[in-house]
Amino acid sequence: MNATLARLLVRLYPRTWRERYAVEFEAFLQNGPGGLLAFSDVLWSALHEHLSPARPARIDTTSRLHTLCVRAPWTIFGLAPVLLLMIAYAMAGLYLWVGWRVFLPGAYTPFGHSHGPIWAAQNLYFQAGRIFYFAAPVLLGWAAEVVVVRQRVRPVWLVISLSLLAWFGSTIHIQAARTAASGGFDRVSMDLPWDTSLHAIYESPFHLLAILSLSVLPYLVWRLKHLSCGFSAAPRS
Amino acid sequence: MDLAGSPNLCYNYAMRSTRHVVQSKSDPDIGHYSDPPLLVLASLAHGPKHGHAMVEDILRLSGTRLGPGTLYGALARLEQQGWIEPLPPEERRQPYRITTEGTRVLRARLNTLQQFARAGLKRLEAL
Repeated sequence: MNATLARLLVRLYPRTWRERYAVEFEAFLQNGPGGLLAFSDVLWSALHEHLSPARPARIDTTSRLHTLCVRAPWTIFGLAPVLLLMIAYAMAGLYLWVGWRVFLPGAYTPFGHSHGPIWAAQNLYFQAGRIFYFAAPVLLGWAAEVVVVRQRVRPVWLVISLSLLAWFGSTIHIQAARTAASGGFDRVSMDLPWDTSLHAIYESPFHLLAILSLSVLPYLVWRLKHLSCGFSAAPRS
Repeated sequence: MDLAGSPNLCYNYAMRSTRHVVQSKSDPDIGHYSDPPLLVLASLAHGPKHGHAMVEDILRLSGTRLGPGTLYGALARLEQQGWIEPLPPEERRQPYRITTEGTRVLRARLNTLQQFARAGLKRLEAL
C-alpha cells in the first residue's frame, strides 16, 4: 500500500490506539497488498476502535468537548451537525460548479448530462461529487455516534442529532442553472428546508430513511454486541 | 474448565467474530472459519509470528484471509487480555507470541468447538 495512504489510514484510529500500534501497523499496511477490501477493512476497524476501543482512553473531564457535552449538548448534537452539513454541501456545490465550468462550459446546467464512459475523468469527477453529497450526512452521523460513545452522553442526543441530519440531508437540494439575463453566469445554490415547504420531507422519504438507517447502523451493531455480552466495553483491568 | 460462559471470552470472541474478513479465493462461499482472535491464537500456537506471517498462516489454516484492520483489532484485544505479548521488533516487523494464559484459553475454546462440531455432525448423520 502507498506510504501516504497508509499514514492517513492510521490517523483514523483513536490516539490511545495509535500511541501503541501506529508504527507497526503503518509498516504492516505499507508492506501489504492494499486494494479496496483492505482499505474498507481498515476504515471499518478504525470506526470500531472509536466505538469500542481496545485501549479505552479515560474521559478528559477538563476538555472543552466534554464540557460542551455536559453543559450545552445542543451545540454539539444540534447546532454543530447542521452547520457542518451546510459546510459540506457548500463544498459539494463549489465542487459541482468547478466541474461544470471545466467539463461542461456551454451547458445550461450540469445535471441531466451523460458523463461519458464509466472511467472517463468527467464521469469520475461528477460521481465522486455525488458520493460526497450523499455520504456527508451519514459520515457526520457516525461522528456524532463516536462523540456519544466516547463522552458517554445520553443516547437521546444521538437521536436528535441523527434526526436533524436526516431531515436536513433529505430536504436540502443543490440547484445549478445559468441565469436568464444576457451573458448570464453559472449559478449554484442550495434550497434549505425553510426555503421550500416542510412537505419536501414527504417527497424524499427514501432518502431520509436511507440516511437514518445507514448512520445509525454502526451504533446499533455496537449496542447489540454489548447487550449480547451483557457488560460494558471496558475490558478487565 | 468451561470457558464458554465466561464474560471475558464473550468480550474477546463475540465482539470481534462478526468482523468482515477478506475471503479465500479458493473457497469463497463455505467452509472458511472467521473468528479473528481465535485464528490469531491458533496461528501463534505454532510459534511467534509477525503480522504478514500470521495472515498467511491463518489463510492456510482456515481458508480465511484476515484484513489488516481486523488483524490488528484482534491483536490489540488479545494483548489487552494478556493472551499474547509482543517480542522485540525485527526491523519494522513486530512479532508476537502466545502467553501461557493464551494457550490455556485457546485449548478451552477449541475443546468447546470440538464438542460442538461433534454434536453437530452427529445430528447431520441422523438426517
